[in-house]
Amino acid sequence: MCAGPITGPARMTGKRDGIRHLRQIRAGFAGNGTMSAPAIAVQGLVHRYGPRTIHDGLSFTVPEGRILGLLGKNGVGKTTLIRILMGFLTPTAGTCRVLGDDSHALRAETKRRVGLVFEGHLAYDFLSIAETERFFARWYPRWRRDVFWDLVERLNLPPTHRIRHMSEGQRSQVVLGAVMAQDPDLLILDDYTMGLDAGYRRLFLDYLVHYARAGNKTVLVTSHVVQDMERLVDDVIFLRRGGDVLQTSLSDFMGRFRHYHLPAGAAPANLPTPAAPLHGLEREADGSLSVFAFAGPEEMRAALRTAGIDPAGIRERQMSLEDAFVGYTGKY
Amino acid sequence: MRALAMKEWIKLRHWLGLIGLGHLAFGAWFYLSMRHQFRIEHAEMIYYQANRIGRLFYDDLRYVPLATGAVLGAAQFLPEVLRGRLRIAMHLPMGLGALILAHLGLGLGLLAVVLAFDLGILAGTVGAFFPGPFVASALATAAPWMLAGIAAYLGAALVLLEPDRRTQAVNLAVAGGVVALCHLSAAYNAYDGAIWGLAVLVGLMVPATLRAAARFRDGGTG
Amino acid sequence: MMRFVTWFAQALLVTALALIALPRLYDMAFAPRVAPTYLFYSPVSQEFIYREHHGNHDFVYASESGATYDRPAFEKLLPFIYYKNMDIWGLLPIRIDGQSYGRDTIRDARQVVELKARELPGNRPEIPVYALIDSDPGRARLSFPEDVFVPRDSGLEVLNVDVNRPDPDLTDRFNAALAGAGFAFPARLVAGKQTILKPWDAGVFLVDATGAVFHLTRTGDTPHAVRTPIPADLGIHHIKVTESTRREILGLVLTGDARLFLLTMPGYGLIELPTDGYDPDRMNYKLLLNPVAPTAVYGDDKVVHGVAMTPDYAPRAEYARDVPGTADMAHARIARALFPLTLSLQDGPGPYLRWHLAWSGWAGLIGIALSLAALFGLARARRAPLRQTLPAAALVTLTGPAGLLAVLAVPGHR
Repeated sequence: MCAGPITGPARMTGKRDGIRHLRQIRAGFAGNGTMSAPAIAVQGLVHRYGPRTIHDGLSFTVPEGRILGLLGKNGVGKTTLIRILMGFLTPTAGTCRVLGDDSHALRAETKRRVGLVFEGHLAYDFLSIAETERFFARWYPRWRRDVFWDLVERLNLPPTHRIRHMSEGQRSQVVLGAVMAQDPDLLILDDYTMGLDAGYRRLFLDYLVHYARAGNKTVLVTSHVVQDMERLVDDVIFLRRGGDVLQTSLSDFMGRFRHYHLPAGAAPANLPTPAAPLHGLEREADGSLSVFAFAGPEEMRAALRTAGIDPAGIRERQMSLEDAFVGYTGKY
Repeated sequence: MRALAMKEWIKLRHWLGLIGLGHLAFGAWFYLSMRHQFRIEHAEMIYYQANRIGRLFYDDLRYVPLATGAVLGAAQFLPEVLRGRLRIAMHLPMGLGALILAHLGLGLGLLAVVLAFDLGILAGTVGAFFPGPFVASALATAAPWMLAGIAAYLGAALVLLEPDRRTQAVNLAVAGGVVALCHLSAAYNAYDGAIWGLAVLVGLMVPATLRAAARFRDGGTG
Repeated sequence: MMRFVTWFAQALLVTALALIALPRLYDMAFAPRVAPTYLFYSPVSQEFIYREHHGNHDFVYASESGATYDRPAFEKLLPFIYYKNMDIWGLLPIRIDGQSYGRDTIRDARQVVELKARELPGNRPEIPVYALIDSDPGRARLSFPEDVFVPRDSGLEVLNVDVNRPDPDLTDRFNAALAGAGFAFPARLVAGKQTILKPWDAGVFLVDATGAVFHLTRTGDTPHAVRTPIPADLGIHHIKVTESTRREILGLVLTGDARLFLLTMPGYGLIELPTDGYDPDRMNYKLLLNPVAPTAVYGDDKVVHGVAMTPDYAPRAEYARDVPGTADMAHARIARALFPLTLSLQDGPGPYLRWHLAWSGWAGLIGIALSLAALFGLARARRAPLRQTLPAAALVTLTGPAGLLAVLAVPGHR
């Protein structure tokens, strides 16, 4: 597939920046020489709830065949964005295209190519496993019965078992089985981890990753368990309060975003407001300082000095994606 | 459409069983109660009361369609709106209008079967004890009650599909208003010349329900 | 487009219900009590006197010449109406035109025959099943028979109610009796007083396909059918049968052109009654019979007519009076301004419910203007584009506050 790594983080704080960023991403794909229409294209998206602006000029694209994690803390508009992408909310302004259609008015043939997993693994709990399979099979010409049963039979439940009598984890398997059997080109999953224990989360994830990679599916996923993303996604979009958006490849982000540690006393009592290349400064419980930045050690030292922080004793620390997420989006 | 019918059937079959049993029990009771009247009172007095005084010997049927419509509507749409489950159906490869009309069509079809059963019980029981003109009168008198059943069904859909509490309250008042209009008179044949207007109001509830569903999809906007 | 259509349907639904509910609620809260005017002809003062309601339980007792009375004085002017009170007050016998009338004389001579608008066919539903009451049961009291008849296109069908099955024998007998009298089916009208709470039974009157009137009675299992001399071309709309102990009057005959006749017995004579200004579908007609001045009183909630007659039913005095309505009261004027358009589903003169859409007149423009001002004020506050407001404005222009309520209650179409 066409999608190469996305070069460099881009920050979008407004409509104009967003458009510029979109161009950057497209340019990146063009470099691979096999550009195709993105699976999702959001352009200048604005959404308001009354006087509250949630998104103001958000733009990004998800290329075909990529697995993209949508990350952000509570209240940054993740759910709003997912609902708009799923077609259950009309944006106040801007466009949001899914497989070329307006996400709010997908044609039937486009709906067939989009698989949705709703938060809480919504299913018809009055149906049995077999009835669920029969129900969905009728809508999708590419229905893959084997995929459904392969996943669901692992539950060791009789086909007559009603969804309502299942645990959240069992239900998640049935829902994933149904969506995968639909054989969609694009999957949108809203917080698939909710209510799942570690075992089911792992099972869900493994199946999803294998399925998406093998079938060259485009996946957009949100989860509050960020560490799972490391095993799953190619790219991430970070949504931050105030409308900041960063879209990048996971490897690029993990390669460029750094965590440095400074001993207690290295910084004044009142921490300065971080300026590029510094991204975030966090005082730890023991008084030491965590610094997050898109910069190497040398560049850091200079930047810290400029910020009035003594760089002596600086150490770079390894980060998990979750650490990086917290470092990037802040604890509070 | 067949898939939707299967889903609705599985969802509703237990309720339909209960409704069916309830209506069978009501039918039996209705017949026995009418027979009982004729056993304890002279038939000619009952004729007089029914015809000249206007006593409705089938008045027990009055709110049965209403309750049936409301229960069926709730049984059909409550599971759909709980946790926003209707979104699953809304993502099925068909248009929203067709989807909701299909749901309403299936529900109304089932309701029509039950109401036809009620009318059959009414005609059969009244016809067993009274001559034809009484049957014709009873059916005409029960017609607005049947419309109230349809209004209650559509009202349940209208209220449940609407995502906004305030508009839900408006829809509840609308459904209540239409139902109340169907029960304004206790006289037989009172609606003979007015039922068309009620039918128009009940008919308007269908596009209103489509609108509620569209608002549901759009998260309460539009 | 779909959004607009569904919005409009919902708004229309709310508007229709508001058009019904708002004026009703307003009337429940503010409408004063109304009472009809009672008009009589006093054989004592030889003029019309009336009781009129002026709101708030204020009743005025007065005469056409302007005299006013208290209630006892008023009643004393109507000895044939209030004879029981006059008897208690020791005012009987009373002398009128040289004749003396005591309690018993008055009781035997007075009768009220009434035809209400709600009784007329078309204003009241009727299940066409009629009891074949035995007119000569051989006992003091009448009793309900087990036999009823249903008029069919080609004859009467007599059914036994105990078994709910036709009785071929009685069916044949009754049809034979009617055929013998020259009856042509199908029957256009069946009229009778289907009760046993009456002193005697006059049977039923049937109007046949040619308009001829037949009188059908039953004695035991024997039917008696008589073709009356009532002209077949009279165009009868209704016959009100009344069976009083005096056995002089069989009832009232109303024609399609609103002429009213007293049907007398024996001989089925017709006496034409005054009907100037009478509208049978709206007005109740009352004939107050007494030996001095039989009086016809008929009217509705707007006007009441009275025609006093000589004992042989020749008009001798007439009077018409407007009923003091509520139309000029403040509450009604406010209602006309508030509710430019009202919709009602109400029973008319009879139990039939009817839809009625009414325009309140020019005063309604006030309600429309206020509603439009509120609508555009709101639209401006919400910065809604004019084009979006236009459909709502059209609804409000047509319906006033009801439409405004709908626009507020039903979220806008975007």
